[in-house]
Amino acid sequence: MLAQTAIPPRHPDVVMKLARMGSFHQSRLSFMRVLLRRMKDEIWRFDRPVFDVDAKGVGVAVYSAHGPDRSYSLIAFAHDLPPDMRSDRVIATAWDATFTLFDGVPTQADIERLAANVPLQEAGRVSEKELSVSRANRSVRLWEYVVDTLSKGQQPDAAKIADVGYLMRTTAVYGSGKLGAADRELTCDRPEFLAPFQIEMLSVFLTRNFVMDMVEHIAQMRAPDTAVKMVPDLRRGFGIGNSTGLGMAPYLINHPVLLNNWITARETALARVRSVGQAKLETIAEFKTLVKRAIKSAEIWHSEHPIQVRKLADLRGDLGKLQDWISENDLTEDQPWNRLWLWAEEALTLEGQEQLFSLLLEPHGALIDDLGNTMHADETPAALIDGRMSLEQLKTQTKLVHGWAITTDWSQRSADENVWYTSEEKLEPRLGSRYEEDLEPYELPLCPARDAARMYADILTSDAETVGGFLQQHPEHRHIARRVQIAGRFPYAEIRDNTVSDKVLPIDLLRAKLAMFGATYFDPRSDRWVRINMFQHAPLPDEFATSDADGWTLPSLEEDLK
Amino acid sequence: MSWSLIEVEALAKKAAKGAGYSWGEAEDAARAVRWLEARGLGGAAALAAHLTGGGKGSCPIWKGIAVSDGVEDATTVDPDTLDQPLLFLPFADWAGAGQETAQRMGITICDAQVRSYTDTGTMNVLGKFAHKTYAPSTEESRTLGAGAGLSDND
Repeated sequence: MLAQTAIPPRHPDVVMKLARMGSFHQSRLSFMRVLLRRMKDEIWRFDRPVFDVDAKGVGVAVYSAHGPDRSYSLIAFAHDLPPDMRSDRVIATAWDATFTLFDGVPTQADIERLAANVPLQEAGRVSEKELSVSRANRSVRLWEYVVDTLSKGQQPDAAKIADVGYLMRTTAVYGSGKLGAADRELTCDRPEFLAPFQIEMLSVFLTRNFVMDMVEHIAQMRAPDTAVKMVPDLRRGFGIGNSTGLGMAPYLINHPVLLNNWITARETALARVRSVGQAKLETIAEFKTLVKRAIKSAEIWHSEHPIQVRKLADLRGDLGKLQDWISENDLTEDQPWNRLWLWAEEALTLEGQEQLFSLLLEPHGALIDDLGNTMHADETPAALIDGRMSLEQLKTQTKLVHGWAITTDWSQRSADENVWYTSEEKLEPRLGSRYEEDLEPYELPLCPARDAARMYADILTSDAETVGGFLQQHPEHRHIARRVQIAGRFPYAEIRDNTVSDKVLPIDLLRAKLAMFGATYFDPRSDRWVRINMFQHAPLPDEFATSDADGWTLPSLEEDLK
Repeated sequence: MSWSLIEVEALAKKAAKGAGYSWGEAEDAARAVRWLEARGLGGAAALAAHLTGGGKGSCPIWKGIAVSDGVEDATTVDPDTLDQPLLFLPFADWAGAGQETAQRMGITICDAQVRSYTDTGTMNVLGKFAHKTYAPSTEESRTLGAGAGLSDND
């Protein structure tokens, strides 16, 4: 159990709304931040036992990370992809590069086995020695420019790099037993993989190293006499991009206990900071610098999508107001961060509030970083329905969690316009219209609010005494009954919003999860897929020993550089 | 060939749903299959046989649910009256009667496996039922379903 704080965590009715979750920012508790802090603390070593890539960029490379007890290796297969086959969608069948994270350091036989499978992605098979499978495509905008510049002996232009921010973007990173890889249960008792998604984040971190080596290698092969390597300051400016679509959206709904534990950690962290009675002068100074850096970050954050354009305008306006408030108000006494927070709840938009959330956590590592170890979940016990619970109690819990949904008129088309489904085409997850397409028979159970309202109506007319008895009468409610029982025990388990309405924005779900990963610069490309950047400005493995594991997520101020 | 346990569980869930169980029932059927596979017992094959039909006896999933929900007492259920009684065992275990039910069925429960060694034929049978949960791909679905938006190759 987590210790009580003077200021309680926010109520789930406030936090678990799609619009707010769609405004989350990365924070100290994001999974890539947790990973880098651990690797820094434990003095992980990195090397590259294999780099066998030809002039066309075809071949294999291995990047190993050595922790205190175990080693892990990214095996990268580089391909020569015809441009017309390049697509970030799930339905793609070929990529510029494909990867697996191997448990240990692979032998030549391992590499050969994997060379026959990993490039096929979903059509291949891996084993319990592999922990993830992923793929990436080049940024057409930046790749050729950087190769060309380096091959001529010049450095790429910093502004052009900043414009895109990555040379390759991953289009799927599969972990946890997908395609035959090791189940999470096989590795979750290792301390380095206790926090969620550490395997996937490590894979992406090593992928970044591979991509930087590849671009320099190809430039070198093109013009061996003139080519140069990139200077470290520019190298660090490249993250790994990512395109994420609907495949990720159901995850948060399908893992209610895990979602609860993520949000509980976040909300506990905020409550701890708000409960601080007196702030230290150095913390205040650091916070003020962070606000300036956030202003700079909001300036360079671009998107063409109208929704994000509006949100960015909100964010920039909010940060201006925040800047004013902190220059006009004393931040030393009388629960200063709480006073700031209460002001922000009234004065700022959701985008600004959630950015402030992240900024408040940043200088308080000593107070909150332990929460990084509370975000995992064993979801097995919670999955068991308590059939002996009284039906009255289930009714009460349903009202508590889904009160608004019970009073919603679900016969209105606007309330349930959308259907989540899986297409038979490469099993791509999709969203479609209930009323325009024949999709309802294939609907996935991703609308807890509507399902809870339906169950509630049947509870009212049931003569059953217990949940078990009720579910004998209504087996169709078994899925949502389980969820409501979980939400009764885990307050942040359920998204308290409509996930099938005509206004639902799947990108809100994507952003919430990607912010938990540690992604930055969300750039929606439609209402259902988004581009992001990962690890941009983070130290690369070869400079890890001499760099800060934190502090890289916001751009530095110019005066810092002088 | 071996499978991760989550692969077998995920396919079993969709297969049970495709065969006509509700999502909630399918979740429990899939958890039962995983429970069995993790103990080296052929849960996936039992589900494939049960869904394919032709077996005699009552539904082991419905009976299992009644027992794990506390509606019926596990000790009053005669496994011989069930189709594919193996599928009933995990539910009995969740109700606290795993050992004695296994004994009555002549099964020894061991807790060892981290992989499933289900044969490909069984997975193909489950895959056929699972396929019924996938929407046919139409041009409209391909264009709109995952979000057209801006170019994904730039």
